[in-house]
Amino acid sequence: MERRKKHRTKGTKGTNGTSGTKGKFLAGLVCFIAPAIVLLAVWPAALPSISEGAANAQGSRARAGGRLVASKSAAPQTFNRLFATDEPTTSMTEPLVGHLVKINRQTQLPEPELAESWRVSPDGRRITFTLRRGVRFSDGQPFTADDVVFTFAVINDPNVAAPSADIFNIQGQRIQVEKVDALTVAFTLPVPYAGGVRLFDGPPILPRHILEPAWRAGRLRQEWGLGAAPERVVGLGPFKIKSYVPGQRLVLGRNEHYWKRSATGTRLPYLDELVFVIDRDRNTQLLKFQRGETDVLSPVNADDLAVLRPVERQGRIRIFDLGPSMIREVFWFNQHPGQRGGRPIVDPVKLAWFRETKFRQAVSSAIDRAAIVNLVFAGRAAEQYGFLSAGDRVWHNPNVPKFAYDPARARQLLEQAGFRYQGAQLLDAQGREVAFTLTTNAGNALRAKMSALIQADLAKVGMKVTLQAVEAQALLSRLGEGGDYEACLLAIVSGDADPTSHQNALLSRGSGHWWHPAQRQPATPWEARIDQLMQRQMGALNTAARKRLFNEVQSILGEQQPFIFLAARNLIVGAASDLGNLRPALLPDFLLWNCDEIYRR
Amino acid sequence: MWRIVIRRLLALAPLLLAVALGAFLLVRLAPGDFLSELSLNPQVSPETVAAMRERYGLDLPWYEQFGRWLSRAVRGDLGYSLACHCAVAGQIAVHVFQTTVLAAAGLGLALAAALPLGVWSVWKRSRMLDRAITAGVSILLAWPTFLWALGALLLAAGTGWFPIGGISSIENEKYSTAEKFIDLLHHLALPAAVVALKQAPHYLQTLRAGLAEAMVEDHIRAARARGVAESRLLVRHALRNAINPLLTMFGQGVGALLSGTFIVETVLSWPGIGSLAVGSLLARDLDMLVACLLYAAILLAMGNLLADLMLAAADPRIRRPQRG
Amino acid sequence: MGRAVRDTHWLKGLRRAWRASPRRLRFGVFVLGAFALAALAADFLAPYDPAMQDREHFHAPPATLYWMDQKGEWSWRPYIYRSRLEDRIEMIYREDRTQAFSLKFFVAREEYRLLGVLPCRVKLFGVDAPARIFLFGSDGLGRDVLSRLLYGARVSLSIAAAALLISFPLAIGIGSLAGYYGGAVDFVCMRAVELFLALPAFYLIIALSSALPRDVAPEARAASIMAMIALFGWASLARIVRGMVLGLRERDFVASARAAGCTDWRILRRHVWPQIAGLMLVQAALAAPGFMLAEVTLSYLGLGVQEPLPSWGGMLATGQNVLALTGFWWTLAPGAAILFVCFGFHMLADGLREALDPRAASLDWGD
Repeated sequence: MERRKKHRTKGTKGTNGTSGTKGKFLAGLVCFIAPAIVLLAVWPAALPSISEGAANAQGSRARAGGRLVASKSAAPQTFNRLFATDEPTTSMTEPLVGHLVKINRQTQLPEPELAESWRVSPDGRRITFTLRRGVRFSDGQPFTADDVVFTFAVINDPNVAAPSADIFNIQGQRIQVEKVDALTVAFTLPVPYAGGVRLFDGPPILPRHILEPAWRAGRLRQEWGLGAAPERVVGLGPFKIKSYVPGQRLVLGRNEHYWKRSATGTRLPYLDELVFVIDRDRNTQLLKFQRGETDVLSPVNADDLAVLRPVERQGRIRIFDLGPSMIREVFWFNQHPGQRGGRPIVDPVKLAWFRETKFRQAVSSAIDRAAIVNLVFAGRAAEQYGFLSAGDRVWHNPNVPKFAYDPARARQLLEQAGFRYQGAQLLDAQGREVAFTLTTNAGNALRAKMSALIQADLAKVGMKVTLQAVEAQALLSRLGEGGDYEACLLAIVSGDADPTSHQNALLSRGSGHWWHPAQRQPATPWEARIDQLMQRQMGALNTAARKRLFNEVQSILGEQQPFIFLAARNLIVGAASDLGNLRPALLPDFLLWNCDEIYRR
Repeated sequence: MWRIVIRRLLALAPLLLAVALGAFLLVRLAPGDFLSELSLNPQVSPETVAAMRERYGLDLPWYEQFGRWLSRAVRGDLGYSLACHCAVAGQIAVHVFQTTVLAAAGLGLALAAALPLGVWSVWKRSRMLDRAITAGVSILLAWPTFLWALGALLLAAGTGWFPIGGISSIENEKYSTAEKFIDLLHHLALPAAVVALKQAPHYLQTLRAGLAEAMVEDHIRAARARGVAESRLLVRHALRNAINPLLTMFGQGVGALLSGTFIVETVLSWPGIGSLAVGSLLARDLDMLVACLLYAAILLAMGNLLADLMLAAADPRIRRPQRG
Repeated sequence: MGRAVRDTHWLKGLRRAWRASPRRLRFGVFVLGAFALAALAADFLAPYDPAMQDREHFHAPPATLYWMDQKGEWSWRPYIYRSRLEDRIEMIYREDRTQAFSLKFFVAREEYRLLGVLPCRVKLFGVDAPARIFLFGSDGLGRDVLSRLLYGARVSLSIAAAALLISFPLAIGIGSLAGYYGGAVDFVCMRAVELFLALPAFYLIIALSSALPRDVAPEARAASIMAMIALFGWASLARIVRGMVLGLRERDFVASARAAGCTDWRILRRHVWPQIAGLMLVQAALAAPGFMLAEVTLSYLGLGVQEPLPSWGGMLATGQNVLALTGFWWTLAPGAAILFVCFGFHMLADGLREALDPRAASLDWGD
């Protein structure tokens, strides 16, 4: 029986606050694409290394009151955290809700939250949560096991079709929930599921007394739409809605009934107000932060640093560079052998190249990753070779095969695979010119630069690359249908640090297995091997054993190069210097995940 | 005159229908739908996406979707925005107001600058002034809107005289009505100036060309021969003739503002129809997009109607019965 | 009254214009001609391939030409120094003063075909390797801004020219039809115009450009964008034409021509169009930069002409951040180019207007 004790974090009693798990639901893997119109473009790069601020959770110095203003690139789509799918909505609704457990974004491990403690049965299938006593919703109503049961009834309801609920749909089966007593809830998973506890950082606990009628009437989705009255939106988070001005700003106020207290016994949160202003344009966000109109900028782009450096020198803001993030730029070939409308999805001639391991390895060795790091991310990124970035502290395997920049080796690999050169142009064994289209999302300056670099690099080994920028939604629909592109450049973002969260990308039947999604049978022996390893790691409850299995998965991916990883940008965030208790981390929400503890000096 | 108005209003209905149909086809033309992004989320099962598609009617063929929309629209229901989980009508109202304010201010500023400057430059007949105006117009036209908007942002950030984007201060709710109005004007200044900068040269050049042509008309020459002062000639006689194409431009300027203000709205965080429409198009939020385009169509038709009425008022000959 | 029957023939007018107002017209023709020539001769004028990336020198500022050597004496030919990136955040380059590279004219490079036909291996200017000269600086990928500007002129000028050539005849035709015949014809034409205006071209172009097939070459893509911009550019102009024709229709000279038994076509050609020509030219001058900028807006959304084919719009769109304005101002060079072209268009339009209407010219300010 594995029993987890309360984790303590410096300075705060009990556990730490609720937070923005933007990615947890959003995705183990999400293609990272400008959601709004504009140049969401950039993220990366940064300045001095992680600061003392990370650790200075000095509860005693903390002062209550004040307001924190943050900018977001798009308006929220709903006030119901359960239905939030995009980043802005997720991070704006996260402070409104509470979860059973919470993943500490810095240690990347789960900690107790609304559940005081939990127990996992020896077979790994049953998790029993003991709920915290005396917790109240923001309207003063008590929180009990009934709310948890209600929440999971909603999540399991196929009519609600909550996107974020699907993480509890494990191999086609739903999770069972059972109320043991008023403060104890037990969940039964369909299969042993290592890291199962982490899933409970996902779903927000919903107030049964408010939402049950709407749910029964089938109007749950509309209930907390943007037109909802603020006082109707009730939650267990540190903040509640004060006002929403459409398209302009969302003002959150202190939740008087929030349960958490600081080490010194002060009721959290410290801040009176948390304001999200909506600025679609990146420049506006940057200049507002530079002028001090907003208090945080997360993430900061490498290019922004030139603008922010003078302000940082004045001491008005602090910049944290957290090192390689979990956003990995990736380039892959479409290996889908199927047909659509009687025509092959990928030209069979090209498909043969794309399915050739040596071809992919050659492409990987032909790409100058150092140039990408330098020119695209201003040096604030790490060259990326394997599936996980170094930011994934627990699971990253540093020993994956590396196809480092070496055009000579690329040519050699290509020749071994039967390709040959006619002058500078590469021909395949049948004498056809090697040429393909590289697709990426439009309006992203970083990716436009990267694709131009790749184009030039591959020209050096004789490949003719045509670039195509497709507006996001059109590109996404192509990916989802597994077709109509030859090669694609996007980013993979981990929303959580656990191997099981990558299942969809790695299992051959997964829809996020982009190079050849939703296979009935693994197409290759190595994909079959990955399936097998992933299955085994999910059932193994011992971390060392899982780590071994997942290391092998990473090695296979490194050798086969179905995903050709390029770079992991550094995660850089900026914050006003008078903010205390900042604990920026690589998991989202990078800066505001502990917004209940943040205070103004 | 009333006949024109009534006929135009009657003609508006098929126009709106055609615009709505066009919008549906437009979205059809571009691949993907509202759920495309979600369907790639690895933690969302294809079944869930399929269920949502069915619920929203996105699995239907476009003509059926259009039929559904139409049957609701005739009852005054503009539909449901997938992007904000709420009725379109409520969301769009605020944006309509904001765009109208911006557009009106921008147009007003542009005209206020172009009219006197145009008349004065023709009256002065100075080669230097003429060259300066041509150069100025070239600069205004040649620089893309986003550079002007970025420049405005930098001005705001550098001087602190204006807010950096947005439409109201965070404290706005605590203000009195008068303070709210001043706050609005303060926020409006830069975006309206940028809109005006891109509009004014069109008016200015058209006016100048019109005036130059009008000044050689026989009746003006005759008036000049009678000894009417040049300034009076310009304002009383020539301006009347030259205003004609200006009015036409004004009419469609109103309509073109939708695409014209998109960049300004985006860069300067002015939540209006332009950015809403582009956002809806990119996100494939169909009902919202249709509503935005309908609003644009109404605005355009109204602008044109207004221009035609003013044209008729300025030039009585046009009011004569049509040649049969 | 009215300018009655004018026998100003177009060609005659042009010839007269050349005499009557040579400077303004010549200036316009000169500016536009120079740009067109530069675009055609880009292979010769541009020191580098527009896709050439110097990854050591990205965002390098325009090269400083030195005329005096270190002893303070005039150098017989200007020279430059190589530079090295010193500060990656603030992008500061430091020159290496140890070795000077002089600017050379008519240097031999790889063979290319001038104007697509003449085999040629001489470029206008260059410096010896390993140095590179970025006269207008380099962009974020270390590509020469000057070279891209020259090659980009091909795309951007063609967009403007093609758009004008397609949309103006359309606009004049439909606008005159509506204005001249009035009644039902007018009604139908104007509703069509309204439909085109109400479904803003911009949105149609976004939708269309994301629906373009995957395998189109960058050149074909540029051409289709050109066509799209042109096809949607006519509507607003048609309304202006219609407004003007409407006014002219009731004039005495038109009425008398009609009474004299002239056909509608003849009336339009001989009496109506010459009257509106001046204003139309002004409209054309106003519209041309608009067409070039339409591509900027498309590029702003990343849907314009694709790399590595340079276009002014695409180049400007990469400058869509505050840093470009404050730090890398030279990447905005295409803005200046559009400005000159725009100015040239205005001069040309003014000159032509004078030419077509000599009386307006004689009365025009400044004589």
